[in-house]
Amino acid sequence: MENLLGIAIGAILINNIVLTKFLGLCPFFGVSTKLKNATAMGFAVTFVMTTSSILTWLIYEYLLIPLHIEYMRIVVFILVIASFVQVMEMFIRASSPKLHRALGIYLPLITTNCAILGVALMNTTVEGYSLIAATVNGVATGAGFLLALLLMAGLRESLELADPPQAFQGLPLAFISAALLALAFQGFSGMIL
Amino acid sequence: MIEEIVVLGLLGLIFGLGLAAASRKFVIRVDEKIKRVKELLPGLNCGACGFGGCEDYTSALIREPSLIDKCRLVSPENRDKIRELLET
Repeated sequence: MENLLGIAIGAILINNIVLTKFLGLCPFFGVSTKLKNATAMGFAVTFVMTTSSILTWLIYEYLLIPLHIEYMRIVVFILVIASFVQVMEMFIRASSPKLHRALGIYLPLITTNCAILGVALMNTTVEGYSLIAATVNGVATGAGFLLALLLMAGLRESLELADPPQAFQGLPLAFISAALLALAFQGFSGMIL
Repeated sequence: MIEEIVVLGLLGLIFGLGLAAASRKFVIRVDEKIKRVKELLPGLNCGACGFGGCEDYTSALIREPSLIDKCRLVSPENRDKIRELLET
């Protein structure tokens, strides 16, 4: 039995997908300008990450390994992720057109979000988790992404009120804040569970 | 070789059917006028009008009909039809 709590805490804090592994940076900077959009984006990514973690694990274990076609994993995983993103997008467009407009291109771009593919690959080939552990890892990594996005959005909303030199306005300041945030998250490394 | 083709084909088919079912469920009611205008535009997404694509351009047209001259590729007869549609 794997240490599920350890996996969860590890994925949220110690090996945070954005701030430690530097995956999924595109939505991290693209959608972190407003807290509300960041929340929606975080939950969308968490949903796709969780469902695709489960399905990719099942497909890998019961389809790709028995047929000895593990090398096809990336194509198959992308197919699974893209399908879930499409369902997600349909749902958001039907339930809240305003949110759909606010998320814009970043919503379909979850398809190629390396964080989600990264989790799917980590669950299967890198770590070789069991199904339960893979699910926990999916949820926790999604939660870690949500946490990073919320922290960043909060920071950037406050930074709106600051008056930085013109050269630092907007994205440069966001990059610097992200670096400091990542540095702060380094404090969790080496935590023993 | 054959396994890969079968597996990918089958998975694609399953997900495709799933998505088709989902699109039925989350159907969006689009205004009939918007739909008609979009059909009359060339649909090339060339961006010459200054908008992100024909979709963006259509929603701008609905708000501001005078923007119709921005599209360079629409045929004169379709342009007149769109103008007529937007005026009603």
